[in-house]
Amino acid sequence: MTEHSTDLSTKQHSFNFHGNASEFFGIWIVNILLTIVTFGIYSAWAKVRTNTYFYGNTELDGDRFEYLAKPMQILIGRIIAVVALIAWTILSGINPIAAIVCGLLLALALPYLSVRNMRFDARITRYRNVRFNFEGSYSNAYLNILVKPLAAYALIIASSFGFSALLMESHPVVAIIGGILLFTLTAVFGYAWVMVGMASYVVNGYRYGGKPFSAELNMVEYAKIAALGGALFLGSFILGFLLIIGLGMFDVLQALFTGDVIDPETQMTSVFALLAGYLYMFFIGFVIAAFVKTRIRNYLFSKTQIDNTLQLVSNMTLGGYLALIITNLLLTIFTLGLGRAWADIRHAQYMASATQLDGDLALMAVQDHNLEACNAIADEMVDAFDINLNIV
Amino acid sequence: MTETVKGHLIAPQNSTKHAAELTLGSNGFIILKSEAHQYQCQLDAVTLSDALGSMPRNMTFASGWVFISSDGNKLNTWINRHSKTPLLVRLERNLLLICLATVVTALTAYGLYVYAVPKAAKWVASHLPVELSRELGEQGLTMLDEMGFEASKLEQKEQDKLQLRFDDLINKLKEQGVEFTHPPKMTLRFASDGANAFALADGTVVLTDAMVKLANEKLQLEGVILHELGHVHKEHVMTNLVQTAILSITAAMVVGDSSGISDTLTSIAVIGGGLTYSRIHESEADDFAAQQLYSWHQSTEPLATLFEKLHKQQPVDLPGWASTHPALDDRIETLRHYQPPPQPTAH
Ligand SMILES: [Zn+2]
Repeated sequence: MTEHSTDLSTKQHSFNFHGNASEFFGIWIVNILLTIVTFGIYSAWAKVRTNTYFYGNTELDGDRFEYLAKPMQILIGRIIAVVALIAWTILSGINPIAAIVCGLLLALALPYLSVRNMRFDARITRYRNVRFNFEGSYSNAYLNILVKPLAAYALIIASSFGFSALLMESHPVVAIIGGILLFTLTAVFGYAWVMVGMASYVVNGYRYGGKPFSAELNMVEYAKIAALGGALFLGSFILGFLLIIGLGMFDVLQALFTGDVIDPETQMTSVFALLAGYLYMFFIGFVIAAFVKTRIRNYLFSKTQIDNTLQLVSNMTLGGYLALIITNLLLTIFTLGLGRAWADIRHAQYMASATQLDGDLALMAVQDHNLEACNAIADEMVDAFDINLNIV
Repeated sequence: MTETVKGHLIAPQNSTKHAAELTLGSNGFIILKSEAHQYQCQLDAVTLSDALGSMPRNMTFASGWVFISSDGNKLNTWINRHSKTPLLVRLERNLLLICLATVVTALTAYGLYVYAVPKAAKWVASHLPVELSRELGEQGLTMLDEMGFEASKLEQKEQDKLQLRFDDLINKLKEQGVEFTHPPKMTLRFASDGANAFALADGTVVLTDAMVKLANEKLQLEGVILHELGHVHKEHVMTNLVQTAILSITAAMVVGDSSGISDTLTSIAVIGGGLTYSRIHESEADDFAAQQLYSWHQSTEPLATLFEKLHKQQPVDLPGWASTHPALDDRIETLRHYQPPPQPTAH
């Protein structure tokens, strides 16, 4: 079903996930119990056990992945990260200047932390006795993670607002419409430019043993995805609005927001209308997030090769992924969080089933590097501050 | 009796695979046969990958070569027969423990949510610098003004009278030993959308003109002011802020993942928590007001009547579970049935 212009061998290896929900539930709930009993200390061991389970049940061509991080490493990193997070929260709460300084410090540290985090994650992942590695440089990290996004923001704001401000006096209509168009255009291309920079920095930095990952990414593809995502949002927003008017709900909603007196009979309908509208917007948010994620992952993988001999393939579908995340969400909510273990397994199953590797793995003899994964501080920091780089 | 397991070998630090076969002796002796590498030893001389669920276990020999079985179950069964299953693995498979863990987790989560978080928030709120709440109070007032609140349109004479009554009330409370971390103040505002009253972080009580008119009897006004002073006395605004912060951080830590589900769940948890906690706060403030009203006038009726009037003029009354304030009906009921706490009697 997949065709590639490159002359790769026609061999296809699919990823398989062998974990199962009932077994993992036991591991998961015992992890939580021991974490509670040890006042959080066990969480480091829990993380290692969980990751070992997910890596170890992911199989490619008869071999499983391995997670190599040690609990003590994680624990030390976690303690430092939590202390930093508390200090950061308190400092930034004290006064506005401290808050700005804290924000700047975090922004400045972000590229550094990202590099350390990716390097750690790569080096603790092993497949067939060979570990992964991340060799992206710090300077390129600062360029792609900090400088380019800032430049893009500046460009978007300066061009659209500058244009509007210039023409506002003489041609207000042209100024507003032109400003909006310019904003949309620069936002789409700014997004594409930043994402391409970030994704190619990350992918091209990865190594399997000494073999490099490579990806040649095209900005136009990213711009298309962004534009379609934007159009999807706008379209569903307008559709929702038309539905409201079509159902004669407009007056009810207006009354609800302006606080006019409504007779008790329409009260219930208005509450339901509000609730339905809320759910609708919620659903739209999920659809767009799923759309962007599937399209970007499929595209990025289609461009990613290992040592120019192996080709990554992602076959995610919007419907499949959307069904997965929505059922997982419902599963988690209606079991008051206990279904979380099952949801995680389903997620891993889907992701594995949508991923494959083309080319003859057996032909590639790879030697492991001798680099150690030093400490987990950056890894835990990135988790604690929730600043993961999401390229897919 | 010996068994054989087919599989493959991977060289140390190298990804090349070699077909291999393992002969497993009944006494725990292992013979590894392969074109690339041969080895024999006792089971305790090899390093086994950690036992976890039903994951197939690998054997790393002292030479660094790793054997991977193509029949993971068969090898696992043999290993289990010849070595002790780690305690952790037995725990993770123990149905009784799993049930127990589920109950303990649910109870802990409930306990944290209902007792620990509010307690911790109260403690933190009372230890925050006074400047912070003063700052927040001023911000709150500016925000109200931005939302369309204007200077009161009541006559100056009436405003002065109200201010005097407010001061009297505070003095009366102080005489009774009720303490406030922030000296309470009162501000009057005009708002187009009806009767309302708030307490801000710095102890400011805001009454809208409509509220003053609605509470047309002296004791009704006293009741609503007392309710707001209840919020001030218990530092509810700051407590609320801290609670939200604690909840968002814990929720994000508990559900953290990559598919966007966690953000959704976090916001649900935080909104849900906010609703629950503000209901508790409303009840506490009602209780504070009821206690004072009862001890001064032997009746909580004025506040109940005022709530009834508010109930009638409120345009939309969301069902109880969705509204920030507990359903007014319930609160009116509670007020009417108020019983003062038993006073220690002197003998
Ligand atoms: Zn209140």
